[in-house]
Amino acid sequence: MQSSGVGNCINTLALAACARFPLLMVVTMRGDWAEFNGWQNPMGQATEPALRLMGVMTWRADDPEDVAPLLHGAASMAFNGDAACALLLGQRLIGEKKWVK
Amino acid sequence: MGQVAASGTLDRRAVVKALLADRKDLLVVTGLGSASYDVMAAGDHDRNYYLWAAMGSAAMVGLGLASAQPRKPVLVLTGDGEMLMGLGSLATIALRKPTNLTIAVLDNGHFGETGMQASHAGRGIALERVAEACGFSWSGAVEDMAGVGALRKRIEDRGGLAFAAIKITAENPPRVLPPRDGVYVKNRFRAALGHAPI
Repeated sequence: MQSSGVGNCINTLALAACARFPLLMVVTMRGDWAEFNGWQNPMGQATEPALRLMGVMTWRADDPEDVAPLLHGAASMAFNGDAACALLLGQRLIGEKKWVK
Repeated sequence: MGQVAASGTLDRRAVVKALLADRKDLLVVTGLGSASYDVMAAGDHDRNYYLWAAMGSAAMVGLGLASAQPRKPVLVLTGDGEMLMGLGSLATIALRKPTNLTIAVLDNGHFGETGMQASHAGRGIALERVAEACGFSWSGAVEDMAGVGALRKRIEDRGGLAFAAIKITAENPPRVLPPRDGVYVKNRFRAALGHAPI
């Protein structure tokens, strides 16, 4: 999902916390770097702290070579430890969105 | 929207008891609040998964369970308020179309847990028509006990993705509280399906 979607999931994360379900989230970031649409900034800036407030462990990838090992690590901890884990894919990694060509 | 019936005439406890009697291999997910109390009142069971929070998630928990256990019938029992909070899930579920999943909404047209305010369902939004528009294989209102019996048969037959809006009276019977320890309920449910804890 996208960082804005994390905002829609906050209360639902109680389910993973209270039942200790394995949860693996991969989040593409907005409002994070070179953002054109400022309406993305509030949730984008709050995404990682909000996840942590709800008990989700987080990792962040800004370089392509980090994605596979960080995803492996997050998935391992989610499914071997019944934990909630999120990998954030930084906006620099995804690339700048071209709004006007 | 014309004249709208705010709630139905069925007794919620009688409906749930009839749906769950001699349930065989049925797996049950309950939405938080009264639906959980109704299912507990019908008798605690290892194959019940009670939600106590995460409002709006019951249908999606049912989708996950139905996908993981395709040979067993899965019944989500929830309220119209809980269903309204996750209305978008009906679209996702309709695209996945698990044939063993039934979502049964105990629809009294009110938000019972917060003081019986009229809900959207009680003001003219027919949830069964929303599910129908999304593409559920069967969707309809259930307004009498004969309809409950037919629904029960439909659940057992695993004949296709189904949605029922069961029109119950707007009242809060005495609470019968299911266990609140989510990890315990999860592990008990998993054990009943032959899975060990991690």
